[in-house]
Amino acid sequence: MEKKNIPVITQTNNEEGAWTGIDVSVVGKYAEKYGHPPRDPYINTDQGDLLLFVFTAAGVIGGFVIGFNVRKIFYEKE
Amino acid sequence: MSRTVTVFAIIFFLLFISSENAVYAMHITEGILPPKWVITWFAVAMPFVGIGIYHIKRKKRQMPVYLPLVGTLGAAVFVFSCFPIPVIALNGMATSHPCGTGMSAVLLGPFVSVLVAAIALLIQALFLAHGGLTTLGGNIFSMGILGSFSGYFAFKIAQRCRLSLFWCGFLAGMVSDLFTYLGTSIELGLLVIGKGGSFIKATAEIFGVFMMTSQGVLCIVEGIVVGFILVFVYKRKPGILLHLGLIKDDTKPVQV
Repeated sequence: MEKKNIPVITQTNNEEGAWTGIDVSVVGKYAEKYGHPPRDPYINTDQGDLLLFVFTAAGVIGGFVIGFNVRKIFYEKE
Repeated sequence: MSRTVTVFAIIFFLLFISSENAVYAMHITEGILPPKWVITWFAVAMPFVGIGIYHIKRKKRQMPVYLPLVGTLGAAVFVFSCFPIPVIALNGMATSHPCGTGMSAVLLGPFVSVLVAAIALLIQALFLAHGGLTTLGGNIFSMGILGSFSGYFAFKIAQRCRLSLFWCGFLAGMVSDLFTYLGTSIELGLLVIGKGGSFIKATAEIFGVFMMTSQGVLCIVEGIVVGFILVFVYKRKPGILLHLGLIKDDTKPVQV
């Protein structure tokens, strides 16, 4: 039986599972299709809970930056 | 009141950032772009970043509140661009992120917005395994340059059409999001050149998939957020918008 060429449009997410980021389901898939697959970053923090740690740390720092500046701009008297 | 806002901002940030899935979103990952495109996109992006530095130096002398505004919006762009929002769209369940450059372009100007996006993308590439160092130029082009300038011009055109402040912000946010993903589609579409594929067909196909997967919905969400932020700034401190040239007279009521 001849294999049908299924367009990528119908394959996204179904293969990767629910809530997959579009970096994997779209960018990564097309990059592989065009012969340039993604590779690991130079500083790979995507190892176990390390990524969770750096995202949380970035969140805390970013939250303080936003909070401090919002207070300075909108709530402190000139 | 100010303490409440600060605490809320931190909790909001933590809730959405603390996810392992955050590593996967729109950014072009390390290794995807071949060397010639790595160099090209860096060459395109760097002049914009340089002009952004010049604009910050000039504007901080004119407006004392400008630097805190850059800090706030820089952190906001960083958060927006690595914060995965679950979306149920035509093509199933996916997560993707907004860009925030439409908002920063309107409030800081497009060149400073490119600089802010470049710094956010660099931090993400270095520490969050998000994007990449070799693809930094490409990501600055799509999210920084295309996102900022399209959002800025959308805002200006909407103002010319005498739309209310909310709708001007809405269009800036929505258009910048769409153009960011169009930029990513162009960068991926260019990879087919020399391999017998059609650049236009590939770009259109990738952009279509982005729209159906998540961005069709997410660009509307981003537009609403930017609209509300502009209305908040206007209600809380209209003088900022006046200094930035976004409104002409803060004594006359602006249609929000």
